[in-house]
Amino acid sequence: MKKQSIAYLALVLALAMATVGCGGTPDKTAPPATKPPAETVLKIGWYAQIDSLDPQIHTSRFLAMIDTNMHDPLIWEVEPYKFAPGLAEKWEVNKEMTEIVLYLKKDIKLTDGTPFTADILISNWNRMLDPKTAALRKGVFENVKEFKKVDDYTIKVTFTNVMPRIVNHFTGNWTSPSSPKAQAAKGTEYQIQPVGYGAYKFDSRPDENTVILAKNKDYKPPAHLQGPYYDKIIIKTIVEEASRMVALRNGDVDIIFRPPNIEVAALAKDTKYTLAYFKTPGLPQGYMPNVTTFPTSEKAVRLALIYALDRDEISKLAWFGTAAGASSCLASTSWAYWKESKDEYKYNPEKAKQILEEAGWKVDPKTGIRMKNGKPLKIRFVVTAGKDHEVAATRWRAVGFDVVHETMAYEATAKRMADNQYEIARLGLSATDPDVLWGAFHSSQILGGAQFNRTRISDQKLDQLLDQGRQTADFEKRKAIYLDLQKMIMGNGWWIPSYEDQYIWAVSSKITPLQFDIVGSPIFQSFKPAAAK
Amino acid sequence: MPEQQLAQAPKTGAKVGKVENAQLRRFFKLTGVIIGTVILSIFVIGAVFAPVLSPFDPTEINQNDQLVPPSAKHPLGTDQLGRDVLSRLLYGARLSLVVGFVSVGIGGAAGTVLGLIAGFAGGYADLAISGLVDIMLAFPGLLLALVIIIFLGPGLLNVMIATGIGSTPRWARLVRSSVLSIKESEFVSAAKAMGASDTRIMFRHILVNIVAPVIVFSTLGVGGAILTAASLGYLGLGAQPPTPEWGLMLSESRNFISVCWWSATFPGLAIMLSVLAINMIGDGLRDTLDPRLRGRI
Amino acid sequence: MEVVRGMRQYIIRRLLLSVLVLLGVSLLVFLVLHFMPVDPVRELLMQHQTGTAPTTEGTISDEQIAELRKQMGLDQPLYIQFARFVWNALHGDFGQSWRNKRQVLTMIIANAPDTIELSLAGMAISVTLGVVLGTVAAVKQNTAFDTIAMILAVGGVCAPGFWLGLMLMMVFGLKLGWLPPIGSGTWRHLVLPAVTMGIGGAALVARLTRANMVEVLRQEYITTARSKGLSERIVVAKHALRNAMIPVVTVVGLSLGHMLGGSVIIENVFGRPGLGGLAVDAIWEKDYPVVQTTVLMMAISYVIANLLVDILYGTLDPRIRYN
Repeated sequence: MKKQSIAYLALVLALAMATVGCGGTPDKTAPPATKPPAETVLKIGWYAQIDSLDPQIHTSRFLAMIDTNMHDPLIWEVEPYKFAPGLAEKWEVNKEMTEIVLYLKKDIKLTDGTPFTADILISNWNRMLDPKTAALRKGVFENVKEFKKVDDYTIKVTFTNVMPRIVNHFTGNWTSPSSPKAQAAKGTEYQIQPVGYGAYKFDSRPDENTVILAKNKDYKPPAHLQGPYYDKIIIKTIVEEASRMVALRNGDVDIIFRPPNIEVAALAKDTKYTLAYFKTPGLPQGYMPNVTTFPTSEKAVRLALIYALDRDEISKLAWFGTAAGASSCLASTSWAYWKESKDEYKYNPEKAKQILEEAGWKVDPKTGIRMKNGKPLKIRFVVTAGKDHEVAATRWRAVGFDVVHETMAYEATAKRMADNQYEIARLGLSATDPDVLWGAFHSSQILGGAQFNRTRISDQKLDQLLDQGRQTADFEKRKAIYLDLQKMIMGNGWWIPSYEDQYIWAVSSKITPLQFDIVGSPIFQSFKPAAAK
Repeated sequence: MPEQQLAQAPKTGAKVGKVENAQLRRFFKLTGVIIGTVILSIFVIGAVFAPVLSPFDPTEINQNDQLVPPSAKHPLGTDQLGRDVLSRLLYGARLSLVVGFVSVGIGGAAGTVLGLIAGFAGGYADLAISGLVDIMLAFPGLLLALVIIIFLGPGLLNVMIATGIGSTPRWARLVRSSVLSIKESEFVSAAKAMGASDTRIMFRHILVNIVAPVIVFSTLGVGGAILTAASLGYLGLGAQPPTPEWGLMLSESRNFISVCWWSATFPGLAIMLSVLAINMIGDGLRDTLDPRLRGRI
Repeated sequence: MEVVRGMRQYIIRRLLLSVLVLLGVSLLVFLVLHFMPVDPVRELLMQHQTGTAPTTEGTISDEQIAELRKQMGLDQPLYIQFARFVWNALHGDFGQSWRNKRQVLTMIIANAPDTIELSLAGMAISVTLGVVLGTVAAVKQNTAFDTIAMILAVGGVCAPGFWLGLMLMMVFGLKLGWLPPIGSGTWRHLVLPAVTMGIGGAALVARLTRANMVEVLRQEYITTARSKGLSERIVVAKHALRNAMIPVVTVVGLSLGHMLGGSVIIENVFGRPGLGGLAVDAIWEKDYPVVQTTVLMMAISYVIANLLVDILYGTLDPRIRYN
């Protein structure tokens, strides 16, 4: 009897504990404790975990959208090739374009009081290059010969080679100062609690999914910007897109990044919200045929792959129309974009079939797959998961390809790239400068670096043009070079365009619509409540 | 613990394992078994005759038929790429059934070998194997398969292996305890005294005793394997797109349940019904062959 | 005294065994992660390059890779790595996440409460629902209610958790709007996930409870109690229930394991933070230190739960102790 009582008691206790556990959940959505009544708060619904806010460590395009607002750059690139002073009020570049002297603004203090001087920058940049920091961002300074402090407010940076885009190099938010004192004090937690100089500063992180920024009261905006207006910005991570939508509708947040694609059409018509779009420049999303393996070594095969794809269909099915069909190896928002590519490479499955027929690829009536000299038109499509791939594979099959569609995690695809075990791979790169083509098509990028040259093309003339593009300083000359490059790349079938991404923000109409910087980061300081106009 | 009770279950000799005619007749009359068999047959027929029964090609996309509700043209609706859900379910049935049976095959084979070794050899071999089994059992169900599939990488074949290996410890335990109880039984010592050879006796009697639990365990195991495989598929660690695997279909439709109930409901229903059918048959088997196993398997 | 000494020996023995098992578990997880055919270092470096153009010279060199490996301690022989892992673990240092350099233990501690909350809620539902269903089914044996209850129970075990969760979410969260479909933060957010978690367990508990209750109800001392004139309800409540509870205790302990495994799926379905979500994320991102430690933590909880159940069971049934 006694043992049974014990068991019974244990059970009751367990139940009691469980019930207490259920009932005592604190409401995590409660706002932070003390708040003066007049304070204005903006709430943003973000789409992913915020792992890092240190621009000198991570290279994420998306994390930069947040931390750019806490880290003013040395130089602002307001429009392509148009620069404005940031934390550097003046700069000088030498004739050879290997050296830049930056004259820093005086009387600037970082948000923990650290005075901004040349020493701070040198300390920051050395930290970036220090192997112990394992900064993914260090690549930006790898060809630096020397950082030299000329005086407290002057710094000279010398590169080992010619940099026609040397000024642009210092517009990135990784050139922004961070407090070495805070870095030393916070150790590994510094990354998520940065201290720098910007319109906003890091305030607190009440839980894993919330980051709070506060207005930097000592901030002096650059000439081309105003604000900041909101006193506080609360950024909530809501990974589920459906929940983000719910949060926006409920008013739990005022802005969300990446609303569900399926809802975008409806949101655009809804007057309670405005949508802000930023079309990402650079290399659009597309597929790269391997020129070193059969059958993609044949130009006819590659061209057929381009004409067989209905990019508008991809955009409609995979992205519910929120993306746009791409037509060239540069996005349509790029200043070097080849406009005529849209007509040149329109969806034309009959043309694709014709090209293949003329090249000797005949359809085998039993299998529907094209054959030539007894060999099938078989391609291994090695990619990560994505609805656009499924659409592409289906369309290629429709013109007679035998598509072996292999989906795997990114690093597994990287291994297949490295081992040269694929016929078609995938790539998309966001960048403001058409020099992005160098990373994607230069022969040095086949096995070196991030191995973005997945076509494995090694063509002297192509390399020459790519090098010329990055060495030329003159705008019009560059435009011409990149036009030639696009014609050459597309004409040889070295690039199969798919779709052009865009960043979409859904904003409550109570807030003035978003302003973006040149790389698509929202400018938080420009937001203001609609009433305060 | 239930497993320890299992060790004591099959104690005596030959009769328990044998399936007699009367038992068979009783078995087939059980309601659960009837329902289960009917449902399972539907799935098997659907799987085997998928190419004939499917109204569409399971990978055929159609931009004009995106997320269409059930209709005459598409009895179970379409998914994000305009693909017919019914066709995908039928082809998916092939995958699920194969995964279920192969997993049990792998787990059963591996587990039986380990269990036999541990039971017969005893000593260090037994210690090592039992230790390994205990360690594997320290992982809650899905987690073990998860750990294995991290190692192997995603894919349908790897799901079969992972699920199979995941069920190995329980098989090993089952077989081992059967072996142990037989080793000690009086029947064997009596046979030995009569001069029959060691291994032959043991094998024969072990096999006879083990038939009932093995049949039941296998049947229920197929259902469990299908569930685990679907869970791994849902997490994106199983078959990869565009394969019409049921778990994958569910995860693909997750983001649209606010506008599209059909692409999430039907794959899950298929999983539940197939597992239910198999479990009902398994329960019937258990009740017929050895009701003492109730509550233990 | 004899009983107490026996208990103590039993507990010590089980404790030692558990420690060995835990060591084995860590070794297994460690080996699995380190024998994978893909290179996590490359993956980490490349992952962050995706979608961002290599800014002029921002490429990955072999030296960078070697340097990163050295930092991650991946260049040492395996046994040293494992020894170091165990040593550090005992000191509370489970390494840093490869994605963001944060302490893994910090991340786990931040995520654990949500999973614990969900698991406890799930277990509470399992037990209450299961016991009630099973008891009533046993008392009303062989009636329509009994059959329906048992079919529901079987169904509960067969329904995949992620599907059940999605269905509940659709009906109660979206169509009816009674409860928030996704997220966490209030007790309302806990209801649907907990029910989803608990149904499978409830089914098992119901069947077990019914089976045991049926046996117990037949036993003689119940008949005696009945003949004494005690009301049916008291008979059931006091005597039958108590005896039927014993195996249920075991199931509760085992169900913790299902809760932990189930949390992996359910947290994903309902978009809740927690260890399950942390593990899945880390698996997708190949963030090994996080995967390793999260899986380890779950296994540890399971082992401890089993240990407690064994001890409890040993208290109740002395035969088990001397096995």
